[in-house]
Amino acid sequence: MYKGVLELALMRLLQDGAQYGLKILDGLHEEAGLDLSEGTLYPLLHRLEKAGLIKSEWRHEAEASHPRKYYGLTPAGATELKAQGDIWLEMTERLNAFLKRGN
Amino acid sequence: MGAQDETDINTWLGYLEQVLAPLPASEREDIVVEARAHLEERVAAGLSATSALAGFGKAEHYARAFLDDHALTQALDSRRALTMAKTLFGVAGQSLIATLGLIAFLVFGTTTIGAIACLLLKFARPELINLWPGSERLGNGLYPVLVAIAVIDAWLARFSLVLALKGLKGRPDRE
Repeated sequence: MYKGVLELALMRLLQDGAQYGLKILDGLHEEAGLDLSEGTLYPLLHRLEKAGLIKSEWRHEAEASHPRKYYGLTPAGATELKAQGDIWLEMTERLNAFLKRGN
Repeated sequence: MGAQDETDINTWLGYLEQVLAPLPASEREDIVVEARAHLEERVAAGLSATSALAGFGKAEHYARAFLDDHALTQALDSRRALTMAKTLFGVAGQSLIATLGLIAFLVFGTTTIGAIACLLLKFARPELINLWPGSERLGNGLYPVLVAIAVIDAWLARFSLVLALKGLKGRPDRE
């Protein structure tokens, strides 16, 4: 289930705009409280891109010494995010209500 | 960046490139260049190369996810049952999905072969066939039954492989 949450959080982050790997790691840590390692993030990005849920492009930016690979959400990714997000929200809502029962 | 940091990063990236050799060159280069950019940015921000590399882990482990995904894609694209079975066998030790897919493939594959063997034997030596105790109940009706079993089970055997491969491709990694 944790792996599915990573995908969901990652796609939600990219919904706000394209980002490159290092910023994605920092964003997931700061905004979602998820501590991913590079060894988990990049293969996940690779797999989501192959699945057509995200797309990537290399950008040459003035302040960076190397080109950066930016990842953004595709329309298919946005649809998947909506579907998975709804499932997740409904599940956590019911689980929260269950855990708080009688407290 | 210090000389030692640069050496450590180059050594790791060089090894990564080696273990990614089965991938197409453009894909391999993308992975290596992206890792280099990430590592150099971390080091420029004050991290040591050792700490920056720790996030990626050992090069062969980091490469594994990319290589497995590539192998699964190749196997699915090949549309060959033996190639698919061989690929699943390679990851069966790490994956329940692969193991179950292989078991289903073996079960349906065996019954397919069994049905074909019975069909041939019935045709060549009808007097030797006695699938049920007592007399042969189906008579010549056994032919279409065996053909149906062979066709359906062959399809199920192949379907088991495709389903397992697609199931594996849908997962972030294999544990």
